[in-house]
Amino acid sequence: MYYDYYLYYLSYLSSVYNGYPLIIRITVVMVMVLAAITLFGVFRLLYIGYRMNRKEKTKKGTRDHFEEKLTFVMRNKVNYEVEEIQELLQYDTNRAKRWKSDVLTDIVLTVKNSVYKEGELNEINYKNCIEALRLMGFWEKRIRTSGPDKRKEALQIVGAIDNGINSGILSKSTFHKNKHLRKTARDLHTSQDSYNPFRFMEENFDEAFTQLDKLRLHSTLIKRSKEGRLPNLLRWINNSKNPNYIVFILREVGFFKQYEAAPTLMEMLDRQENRDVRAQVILTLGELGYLECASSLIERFHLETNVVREAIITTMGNLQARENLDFLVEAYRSTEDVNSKLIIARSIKSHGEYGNQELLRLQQEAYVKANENENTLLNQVFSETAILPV
Amino acid sequence: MIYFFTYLIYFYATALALFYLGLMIMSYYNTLRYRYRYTEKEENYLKDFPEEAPGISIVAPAFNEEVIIYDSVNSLLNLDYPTFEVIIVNDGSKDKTLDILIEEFELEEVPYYYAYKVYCRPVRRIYRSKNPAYSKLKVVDKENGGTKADAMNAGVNIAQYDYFINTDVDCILAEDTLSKIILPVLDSDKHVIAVGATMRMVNGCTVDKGRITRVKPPNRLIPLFQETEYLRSYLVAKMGWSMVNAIPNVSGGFGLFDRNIVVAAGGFDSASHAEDMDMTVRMVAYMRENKKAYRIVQCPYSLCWTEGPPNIKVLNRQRTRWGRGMLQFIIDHRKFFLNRDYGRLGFLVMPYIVFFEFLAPIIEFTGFLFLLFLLFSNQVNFDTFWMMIAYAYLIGLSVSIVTVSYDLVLGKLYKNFWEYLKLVLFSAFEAILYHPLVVIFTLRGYVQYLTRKNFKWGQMTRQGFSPSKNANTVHNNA
Repeated sequence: MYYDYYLYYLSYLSSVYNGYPLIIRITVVMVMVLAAITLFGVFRLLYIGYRMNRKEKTKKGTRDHFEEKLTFVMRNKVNYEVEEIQELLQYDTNRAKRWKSDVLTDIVLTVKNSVYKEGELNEINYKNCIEALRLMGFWEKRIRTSGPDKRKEALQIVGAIDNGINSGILSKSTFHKNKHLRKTARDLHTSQDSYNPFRFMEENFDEAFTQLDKLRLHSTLIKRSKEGRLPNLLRWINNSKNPNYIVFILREVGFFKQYEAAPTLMEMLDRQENRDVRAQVILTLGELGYLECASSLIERFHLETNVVREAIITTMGNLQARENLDFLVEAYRSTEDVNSKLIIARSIKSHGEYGNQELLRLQQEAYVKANENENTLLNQVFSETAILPV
Repeated sequence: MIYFFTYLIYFYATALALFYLGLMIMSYYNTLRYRYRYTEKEENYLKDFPEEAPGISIVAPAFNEEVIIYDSVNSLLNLDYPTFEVIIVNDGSKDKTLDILIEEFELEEVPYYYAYKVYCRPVRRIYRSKNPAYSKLKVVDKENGGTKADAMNAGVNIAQYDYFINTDVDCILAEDTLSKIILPVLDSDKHVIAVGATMRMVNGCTVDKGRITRVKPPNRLIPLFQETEYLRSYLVAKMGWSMVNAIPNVSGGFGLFDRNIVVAAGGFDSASHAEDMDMTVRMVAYMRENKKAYRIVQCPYSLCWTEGPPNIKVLNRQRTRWGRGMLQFIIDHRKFFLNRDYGRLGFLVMPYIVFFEFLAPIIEFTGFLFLLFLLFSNQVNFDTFWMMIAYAYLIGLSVSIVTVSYDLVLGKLYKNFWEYLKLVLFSAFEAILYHPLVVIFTLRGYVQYLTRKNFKWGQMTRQGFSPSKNANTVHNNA
């Protein structure tokens, strides 16, 4: 119906500029487009402003109504039933508007985090509050029906709520083509699933494995380790060909002090061709305090690349065995690279009193040879503890 | 001849309009994507597991900055991030900058093996604090090198972490700057060599002890126009370019760089007057020459506030320097232009810089002179003249308005919504009151470069941020 009107005005406009060169006609169109963008921009700005103000007001109202009551329930040592909480909150879930669950989740999580920090969180009441407000249903629906960005946000919130999730709801997201959504879903699965939580860990986690994923998984593994003993993490790297992922798992082996992994790590050291993986194996052995590795590391020191050599030196510093000091001193003398010298000197210093004595001896040698640079370098290492740590 | 020139200007403006339309669409998509991708949860990982957070060095050169140095360093030291160091490079200041640093931060000279990995003027001393509260601070005292690039190199040489922030001491960083700027590095499967972020004007904001407590648009006209100009540049242009990994420049006021790549590319060029653009392009060239995959990312959030020129005199100094830097950059890096070995750098970034950044003031100025000639010789068709004026005017205005709405989408920084409308309202006058000045000053910079006149690094005159010293709202009196 409106098509005729548009056609009329378009004909009118073209009649006004009839006879003008093409360039003027193009300009007319461009001016109209730009004017439309300008007007649209102004209206959009006003609309965003209006929406923000309204959200702020409703958020404040909701917070005023719920925050105190939720704090009371979550902090209370007496366990409340879901119906009791609903009655206390005076909240009818059937009549609630969609935006309210969003705002309520924010309030529930804020209250939970603050009460948890105080060490007074009643977990049962917290879970009943979520049930009373029907928050999980709201977010599960969003996971099922929204676009990738909103779905990812919903997954993160479900992770923060930490109330478990049916892995069936996640299945669509765990194999989504959007890698950010996919990885968030896989992390949530690892964190929340009760049947086979480490499924994706055994499958390399994801082909697009980044530093941020390492942080996410590190956090998830800490959470899992608090719930119960973690399995031997090394089994997850047997099928992996991604060095990045292998390095991450090796770091976690050290972090969670899985001492039983040390002999296998020694075997890995001979097999591994990737230098970053070898370097991490050595660092992990140091983290585990595996003194037996020292002689083997000393043997391979001169044949290794710089990255691995630095890892060996750091590990020697971590192991702090007195017998390794001679090796470190010899390594210091034989290296020409200033950066390596610094690392070795710090490693020697980490051996305490004996280390300091060796450093003084090295400084004496530098003094005799009138090697000013080396003298400064050693003075720097000495001053690092005297002034401040590096 | 007349026809040729008229058409040239017309098609130039049309190409610019279409270019910006494309960038607006790409930046909108990119901004929304960024907003959903990195939330508070990701930032919290870095705070919850400090041992996993990659270290960041903040390098800020200081030359005669006695007025602001104390607040500025304090502000940098109080950033909310687990692992970072602050490196202040005293670039041979003639005032009390170094004395203030030594006294206020309880510094003492430490033995330090200083390796000149990239060239800079000789370093005299390294200072560190005796007070554990300032354990993150390192001060490099060096001979004056005359440019920011030289001072930056001195800082890069001593930086211990793999990534460093290139900033100025007159910049105030948001408290969560470091966690926001490092996230794209951590989340990329390609090597991220640099990350930029949005910068705004500190003029008008309320600052307390080196922290911004209330964000406001500037009260004075020039910084107010520059605020919109910066937002356009960061939120539309750079966010758009970021989509196709072709950001031409990571700003010298605030940017995160990969230290190893900077060193491998030879460090900042001390002779350059646009050291940021020069460095960005040389890093890209290095990656291309070594056939390494890379990314340069733009973070849309406002993370850095800097003092904008408060008056025409300082604006003149700033823009002539930028003009000199632009021409110098194009001459120095002409080999990249349309060079297929450099991929996007040769076929997208360099042509964009040459045609839309370098040539713009020349075409605008000659266009204006040409218009005067046509007016005096009675050759203007007034039936279509106003249409053309409206066309040129709306290109700038529409982009400005859309930019302000993008900024609002990311979160409300100004307390009052009317302050956003103030930006919109004044952007309507930008083309008349501000833009002609920018054109003239940039052209002046070109002339200065060609005639080799006035080749000094322009200096801003500071009034300082601290309420105790001056006022709690920043005004500049240059």
